[in-house]
Amino acid sequence: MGCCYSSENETTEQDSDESKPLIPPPNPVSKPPNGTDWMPTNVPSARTDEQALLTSILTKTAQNIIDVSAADSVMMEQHEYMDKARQYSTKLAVLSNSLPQKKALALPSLTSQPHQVLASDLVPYSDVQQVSKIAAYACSAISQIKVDAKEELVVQFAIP
Amino acid sequence: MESTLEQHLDDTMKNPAIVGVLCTDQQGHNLGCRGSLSDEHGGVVSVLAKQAAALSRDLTDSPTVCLESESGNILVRTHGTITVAVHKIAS
Repeated sequence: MGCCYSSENETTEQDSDESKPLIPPPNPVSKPPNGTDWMPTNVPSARTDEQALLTSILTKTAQNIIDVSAADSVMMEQHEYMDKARQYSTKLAVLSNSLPQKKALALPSLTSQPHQVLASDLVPYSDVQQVSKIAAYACSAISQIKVDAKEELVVQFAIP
Repeated sequence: MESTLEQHLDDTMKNPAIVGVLCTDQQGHNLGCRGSLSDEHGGVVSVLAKQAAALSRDLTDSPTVCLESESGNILVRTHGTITVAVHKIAS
């Protein structure tokens, strides 16, 4: 099998990825984290004057990113795993309460007593006849809606 | 042009036992509704009627779908290209 982890070629890049918390520290964020995304992998490790600027960009991005490329997840202990699972589910519960619920597309609620409904009288045939009359009348009313052509759709431009 | 249909829906609602009426086309687009039935029921109503019609090989036979409950019935029927649903309570 291949090698899952090696400590020989450790870079500062990999270090920062590993020790970065999966859930950002609790500070007032205006919007929820928006799913998985990839960290820019081309962060130069050279200690130049731009390091401070890069760090500020990184922290800003880190607030909006959930990093799932954690290399040490295989070595997480059971209690850590359970803790993280609990953290995620509470966060999900908080977010799902704030998200707008999808409106249930259902006919008006019918009954909680199915046996009572099934045992009751049949739908009267007069009702069925009434509905078919309503439908027939509605169909003839609909047929009155038609295109009323007032002028030609295609006209010739009078080019002198 | 739609005034005839609107008037017909209003007349239907005058019946005290009827609490909702809905007209849709074959794609479930709402053509007019009153009372307890509204826009969001258009799709369900048109599909129910279409599936019920598929039960019979006789193309001239238009079935009436009845959804029964303790408080009332919803009857759905297709005529031509439109489907009408009527919510009628027990009187």
